[in-house]
Amino acid sequence: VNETPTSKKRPSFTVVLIRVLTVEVVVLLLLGVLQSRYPR
Amino acid sequence: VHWINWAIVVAWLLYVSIDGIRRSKGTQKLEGYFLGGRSLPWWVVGLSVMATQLSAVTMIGTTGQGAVDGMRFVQFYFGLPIALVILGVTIVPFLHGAKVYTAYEFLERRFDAKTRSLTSFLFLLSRGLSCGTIIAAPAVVFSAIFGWPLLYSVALIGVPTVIYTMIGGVQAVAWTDVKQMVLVVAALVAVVVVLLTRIPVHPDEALRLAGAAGRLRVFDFSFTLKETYTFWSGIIGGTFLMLSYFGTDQSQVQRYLTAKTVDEARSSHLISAYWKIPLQALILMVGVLVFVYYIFVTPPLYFNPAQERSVRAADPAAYSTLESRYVGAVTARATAARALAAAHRGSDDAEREAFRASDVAVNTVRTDALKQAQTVTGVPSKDVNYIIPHFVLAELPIGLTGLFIAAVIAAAMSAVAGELASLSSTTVIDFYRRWVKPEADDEHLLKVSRAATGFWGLFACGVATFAATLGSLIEVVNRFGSFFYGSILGVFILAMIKRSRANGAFFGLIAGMATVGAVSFGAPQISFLWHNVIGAVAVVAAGLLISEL
Repeated sequence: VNETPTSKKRPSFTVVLIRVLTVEVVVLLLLGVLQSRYPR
Repeated sequence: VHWINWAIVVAWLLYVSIDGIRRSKGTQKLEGYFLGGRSLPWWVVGLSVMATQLSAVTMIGTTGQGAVDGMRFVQFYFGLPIALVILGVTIVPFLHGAKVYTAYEFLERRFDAKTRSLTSFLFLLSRGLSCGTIIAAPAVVFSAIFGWPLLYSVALIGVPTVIYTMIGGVQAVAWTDVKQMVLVVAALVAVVVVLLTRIPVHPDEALRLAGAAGRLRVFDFSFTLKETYTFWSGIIGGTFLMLSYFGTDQSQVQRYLTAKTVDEARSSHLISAYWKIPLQALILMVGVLVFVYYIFVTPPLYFNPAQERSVRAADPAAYSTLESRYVGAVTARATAARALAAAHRGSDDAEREAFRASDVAVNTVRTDALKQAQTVTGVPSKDVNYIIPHFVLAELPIGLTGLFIAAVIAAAMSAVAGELASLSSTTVIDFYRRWVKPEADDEHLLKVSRAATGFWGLFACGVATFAATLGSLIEVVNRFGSFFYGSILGVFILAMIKRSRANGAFFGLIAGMATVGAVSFGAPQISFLWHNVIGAVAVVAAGLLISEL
């Protein structure tokens, strides 16, 4: 595969995965707080 | 509708059309027309990716779903961030690095022409029809509300989109998508603000009412293959669906191929990874707040005015009985809601129970009314799609109504434009240049590409105009489409496994589609999100086995 070279160092897969999952977990926690604060 | 609202809609349509056409600069070559010269900034690509997925159905159907079913639909997107990170290190660098025009072109380099042609043919078949349904959904709603012939509504959405996509190519699509996306988000936020000021109780109490009615139940942790919207189907089935959609569907692939570098292509995806779930939550929240609003303001028995007229005309006595039952139930619910809002938190069990019972009573009358409508019209009622349009036209201030109508049209246009560009690129690159005129020069191919965009635009408008007549055909094709979505992902997974061979990929694809078909007919209770998992796994297993032979 002929990847295009870049000047900036790219964060590794693990770092990106951790960042994205952290944001997702925070969003899901907020939705969870919404559900538990305003229950059925 | 006040003339100022129409002026806003017309101004917006003119603005995006002219802006789109202006972007035709640099599209004298095929690479400029289909891939924007592979030079678009990552944020433009990222917003364009989001705009393509956000159609008018999201603006009117998903918000309506929020009103009647609450927030749980958001679980559908739980797998999306995971899928985009996985794609960032797998398919995205493969396809971007291969310097291809279409995802399917890559399959010929890796396997053979028959695998490429089959996958691209399946794409054209399903996307061609789905493009028509994307126009049809809002067009049908507009026609019912404004009393226009369906053709006018189809033309309002279709004509400007076809013109700027035909002239400006993917560059026009991407840059107009950015503006459409800004308008859509602004309109949604504005509606939330208006709702919060109009609901006669404190926002905290409004959410308490929504919660008591079950509208804020986001998570369902039950592990069942039958239920479409659960945490697990979203995380597992949703990941496979999003891997397939973002990784192998030309309407998405074409977008990240326009990015300058692999890194920019990856970054463009991260916009969706971070923002898709919050955006969907916002869209559903609009519906939830509209539900709360209509606790205090008596909603119509039918939100679809055309349906109301039909039921009333068919049996006026039955209609007025239904209506008086409805008004009584809604009034009782409003009283119960005020009692719950005034009750002390923590010791409000009796008020909560009374409110829930009153909501069930309202729903019972609504269900009877919808059944009555189905008996009269002979088709299942889709009243849920008219809740938000009714609210927008009846309750929003002048100006904001126009902004919201423009946003619905914008959402439809951006989704259609992306699909037209991808249909055109697949037609020209995977069929015309591959099988008809391999020696054709850029100038000739560009002409054919513009003609192909125009053809698919007309085709989509035709399908949209006759959507009601074509209903069962579209359903068949959609069902057929679900057979190969996960299966095509399986072919791309095979492409990254060294041991797999051309025949393995081709016959593996057929085996995968047959497996999903068998599951779909043999066990119809299994939710479609799981079909993607089954298809992908079946193709990889069969493909590797056949490659060994």
